[in-house]
Amino acid sequence: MKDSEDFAKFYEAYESKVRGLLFRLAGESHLADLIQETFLKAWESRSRFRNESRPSTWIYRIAYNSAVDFLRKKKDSVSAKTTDVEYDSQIENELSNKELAEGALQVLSLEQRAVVVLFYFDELKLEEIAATLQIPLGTVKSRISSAKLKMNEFLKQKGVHL
Amino acid sequence: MSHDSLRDFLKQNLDEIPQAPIGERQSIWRAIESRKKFYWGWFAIPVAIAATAMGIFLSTKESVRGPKAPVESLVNSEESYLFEEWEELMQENDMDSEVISFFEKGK
Repeated sequence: MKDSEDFAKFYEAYESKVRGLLFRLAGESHLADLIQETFLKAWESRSRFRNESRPSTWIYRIAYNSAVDFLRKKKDSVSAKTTDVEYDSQIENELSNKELAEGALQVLSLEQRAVVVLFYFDELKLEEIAATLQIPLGTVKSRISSAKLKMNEFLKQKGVHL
Repeated sequence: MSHDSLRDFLKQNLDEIPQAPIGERQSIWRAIESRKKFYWGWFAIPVAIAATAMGIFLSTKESVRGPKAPVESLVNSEESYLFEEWEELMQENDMDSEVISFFEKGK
């Protein structure tokens, strides 16, 4: 019973952050499965968490790895989705701001998208992003910079100047 | 393009994050519990199989050897064999002494 209550607290604390990251990375279709997998892995490996990083960083990392594994397995469907975005770009004048924002995220690689989500949406510090994704700080900076350039280019093509 | 303007544009226009479905926490907890049982099964089944195999092996080994002869009966059979041997030897000895005494009388 104690375990169940502890899990309830754990879930309430991180559910929205995990959902946000997974939704932006992998979309809505498999969101429930990915959330379940993330919490399962996190709960089962909680004894290995050594307080060297923040719990949020740790569970973000698990969520990110789950999304990466899932998207690698579903690579074919992801590339099909990218083709859809390219097709959409032909009817650029009809795109709404919502579609433009979605398109801007879709032009990014998974690694760039993860950095963008953590930096722009969750407003994590660069050091926290580096710890979450287990990459050097310099790589975080270069990914943000290249992602920004790509999105800017995409939006300029569509006539959006920010 | 600044970071702030890009952030604002993305936040204003991207889809809202969907709400958690009702009962999601409970369903994840059920999945955790069922996985625990699954792992327990992976541990318990091989142990049960190994224990059964060991039991069968030990009982077969015993039956191949046959029932163990009690120590007492072994000692008794050894003693009776020696006694018989001794009796036979003594009989031979008596016969020899009879023959000797017969020839001695003849002298």
